[in-house]
Formats: sequence, structure tokens, C-alpha cells
Amino acid sequence: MTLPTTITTTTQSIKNTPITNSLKLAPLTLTRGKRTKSKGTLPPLVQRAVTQLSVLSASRKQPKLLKVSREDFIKHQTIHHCWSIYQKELREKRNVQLKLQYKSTKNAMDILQQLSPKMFEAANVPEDGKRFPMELKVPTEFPPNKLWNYTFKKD
Amino acid sequence: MISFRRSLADVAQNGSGSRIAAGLILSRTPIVTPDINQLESQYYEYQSQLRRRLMWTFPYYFYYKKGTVAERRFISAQRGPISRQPGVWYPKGVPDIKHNRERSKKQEIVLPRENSEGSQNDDDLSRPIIPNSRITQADERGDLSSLERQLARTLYLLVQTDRGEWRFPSFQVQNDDVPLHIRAEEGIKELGGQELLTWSVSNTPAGVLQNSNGSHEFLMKSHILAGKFELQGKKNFQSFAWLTKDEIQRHVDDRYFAETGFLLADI
Amino acid sequence: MLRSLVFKRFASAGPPQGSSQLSIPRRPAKKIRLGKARPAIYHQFDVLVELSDGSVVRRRSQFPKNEIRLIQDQRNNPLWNPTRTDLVVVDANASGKVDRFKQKYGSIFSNEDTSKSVQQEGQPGAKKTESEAESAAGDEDEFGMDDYLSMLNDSSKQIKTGKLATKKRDKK
Repeated sequence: MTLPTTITTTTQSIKNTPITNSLKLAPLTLTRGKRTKSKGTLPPLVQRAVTQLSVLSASRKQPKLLKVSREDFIKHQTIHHCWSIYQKELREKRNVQLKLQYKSTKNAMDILQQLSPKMFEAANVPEDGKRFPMELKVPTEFPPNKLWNYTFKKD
Repeated sequence: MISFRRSLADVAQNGSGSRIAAGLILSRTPIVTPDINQLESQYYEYQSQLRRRLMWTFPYYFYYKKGTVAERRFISAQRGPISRQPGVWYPKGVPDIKHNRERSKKQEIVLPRENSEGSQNDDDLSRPIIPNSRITQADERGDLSSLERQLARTLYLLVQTDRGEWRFPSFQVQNDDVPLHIRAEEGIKELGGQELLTWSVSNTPAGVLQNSNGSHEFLMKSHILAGKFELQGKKNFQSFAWLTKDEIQRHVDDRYFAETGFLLADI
Repeated sequence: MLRSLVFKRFASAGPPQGSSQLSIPRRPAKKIRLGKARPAIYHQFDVLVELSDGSVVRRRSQFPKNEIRLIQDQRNNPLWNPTRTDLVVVDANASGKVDRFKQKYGSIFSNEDTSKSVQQEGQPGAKKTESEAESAAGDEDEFGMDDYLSMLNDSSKQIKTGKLATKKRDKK
């Protein structure tokens, strides 16, 4: 606590009498001596390898472990339990829908076989090697500038 | 199962007089990722905060070469942690600093801005990224016939018959030689213009609808990929709309939705 | 049998053999006790990636950058968009190394065919090389690649006399 006050007093004294006090301040100026400890003894190639390895290593970079209280731990478990229940619900809903879709397709094919065996055969042709078209794009977080390609020309 | 038996009986009664139609569920796949609900967003936020807390210290010495301007700019942009001084009481715990990071907290890194702030012209490649809105003009106008609405949802094509009811477009099959999916593709091009790019998912029908007069409508699935859909001559259908599953439920009657609703995607 | 096994073990335990071998200073191995192992969670930044058509994807990356803009990608590549007619094809390497090289030395690639034909002519008639070398020396203003080829064909004799340079230093 004493350090700042002394500094202010000295600065004031410098302002007041700049020339006379310069002699007094001279011993306080710090000079940098010669380095005794040699730093960076490694050749640059090795230094680079050490840097690259240190990126991959956990030493001195790992944060402290999370220490949660009992209450927080129960909260954490509740959150994850809730999430797993939510995922389970979604999964079950999806499975029910898939089953309905399969039943519907089977029903449609059965009826088609009764109505028109020829079209049934055509609908049953194996579609090996069928691919998704290139124009189907993966959804992005934010839409493109041009939302839809309206100018399609048939060859 | 009951309906299936009844349908077989119908077929037996009608014999060869039953007619076949190819219906088409034409969908536009989502352009942006699905909207997430509150539970999902809160869970993701919680997980990402946990992850950030447990992440290792950022090794800036690897990405910024020593003694460069970039390194100096990076270091000067950081707000350093509170360092440990002897004889000082820290109410939030004694700092434990390694590599300029407080080990008991997440590391907050401020990256110096590289792009030019002022320039807004599109030619400048270093302009800041401003994402487009997920809500489009078509959404604001409430334009049901636009393909640019509801980007996060799958849209399905529905047409309105002369009697005013909404349904998936269907086309009569005259010729046995033409498979159902090809007939449906031809039909949609007669209905909406030849300049349409569609991709049929399969040649197997996804479902069947039985009308009271004994005719059967087989539903095929297809995706629209490019082109403008416009009704060519309103002989059979008055208007068309691109609707999500929820909107379809509101537009069609309950019986029709019970037979087709499970064929549609929730997102 | 046993000997070979021992040799193999020794070989696998030894340092990797290579021409550019680095000897990294050894550090004392830190012992990880049972149940104390922790997963490696590298520091990652949230990045906004703008694709060439203006759509934006959010992702995580270890590289210290908040925004990445792609100039050339799947969205404007004609290979991936066979039906698009309104594409503006941007060449991301327009000012790159390869393009600059082509600009500078493109003319050499164009008269590559003539140099090859000269080479093919020269090879069957090995005795004609002297006259050809003279002709090459005659038109020095045309500095082509065939000059070097003729030199290589012409006066390449193995030196059999004199001391050969060895790696070992002379001991004095």
C-alpha cells in the first residue's frame, strides 16, 4: 500500500524541480544485465516439433475437474434423464410411423396385385444403383441468397 | 386389416371394371435445418457450456508465429485472467493460472476482427458474414403457392378440386403398360408445366386410397428439385398450395388425413 | 526363432529410423492412475461458414477464426449442379501459384511437342548428334529444352581416373 504514494510524491517532486532531483533518481533506474540462463537452446526444427507435440498433449492445458455439489449433480442427472426420455419418445414415434408406412405399402401392393398384375410387376422391379440426384442439397442453418431455382430447362 | 378385407371384396364385386389412378405426393425437402424447440435449445446450451468449461487451453503459440503482428494483435485483444498476488484475499477462490488461463473457469477468447467493418459491398470477400433470414417474404405475405415458404419444413403439393376440397393430385391410368411412377411424373408435368425437375423416390406405391365408386388411387412419392410449378389450364383443379403436414391437417378432412398423414414427414 | 523374436522386439522398441531424424528431448512420462484418464477436449471455436451461394453453416473448429467464406464449393460447381444455367463460376485459384506459373511458363508447354519430336529424331541416329549439337549452338537465340538434351546425349563420359570423394575424412 505504501508503494503508490511514494511514486506520486516522487512524480510531483519531478514536476516541481525537474533538474535538481535528477541526480537523486539516477540510482533507481533499472538496467538489464546480461542473461545468464540461456533460453531456446533447441534448434528451430526441434522447437517446431515440440510445439506441435505440445498442442496434442494435455499437460498444463487441462482445466480443473468439475466439482459439483450433490444438488447440482442431481440436477445434471435429471437433465440427462429428461433428454433420454425425450429421445425415446421421438424414436418410438418414428418407429410407429415407419411401421404404418410399411403396412400401407404392403396393403397397396396387395391390392395392386389383385387389380393389375402387370403394373404390380412394374412396381416390383428392383432399383439397384438408384442414386439421389445431385440437386438435392443438405439443409443449411441459414438459407442461400437464391432460394429456389425457377429456371429449369429441359434438354 | 378390416379395410383390406373389404377392399378385396370390392374388387371381387367390381371385377375388371375397377379403375386405377396414380396419385402423387410431391414434396419439397427442407432448405434449412429444422427449428428446435425450447427443450432442445436449452439442452444444447447446457452441453455446450459444459464442453467449453472442460475444453483445454487454446494453444495460441501454435497458430500464431512468435514475433508476428498477428500474434501481437491476438495477445492484445485478450482480457487476461486475474493473477495471484501474495497477501490478497480472493472471494471467488485463489486463481490457478496456467498458460494465461484460469483453470477453474472456461477460457474466453476474443479473436481480433480480421474483416473490414465498413465495406458492405458484395464484391469484398472480407466483408462480415450476415446470414439471410430463415423467414422469407413468402412467409410474411402468407403466400401458400410459393415454394419459398416454410424453409425448415417439408412442403407437399396439394390441389383443390372443383368441389372445393383439398387433396393430393391424382391422374387416371389408361394404359396398363405404363408403370405407376412414370404415369405420376407425366401427370404432374401435364398439370404443372413441362419445365419441372422431379425425382421419384421409388416405383412402389406408398399407399392406396379407395373411393366409394370402387376406383383406387395409388400414392407415389416424389421430390421437386427445380422449376416453377404453375397450373396449366384449370380443367380438373382450381388452385394449388404447398403445405406442411400441420397445414394439410387443417385443409383436408379428417378421414383423408387419417389415411395419408403417416406418409408425411413431421419436419 | 527366439533370436529373431528378440530382434523384432528390440527393433519395434527402438526410435524410428529415418534420414531426417529429430531427437526430441525426453520428458519424464506422467503416470495416469486408474480412473484418472480424461478425454482430450481440444479448444474449439464456433465458426460461421458461408458457402458460395450465400447459405451459412455453423460449425466448430480448432482454427482461430470466427468466419470463413468459401469461394468455390459444391454449391457453384457445375459438376454438382448439372441443371443450373445461372451459375457464376469463380476460379478460386485465379491468382494462385499454379495460375501464375501457367501465365509465366505457358509458352514452354505449348512448344513441348516440337522438343519431343526433336528428341525422337536424335535418339535413333546416335552418330548424328555432333552435327545436331553444332546446329543447336548455331541458333543460340532460340533457347529451348532440346539444348540440354543434346548436351546430355553428347558428352557424357564416366570419369575413371582421380580420387573419388568419400564421406570419410582423411585421418591425419
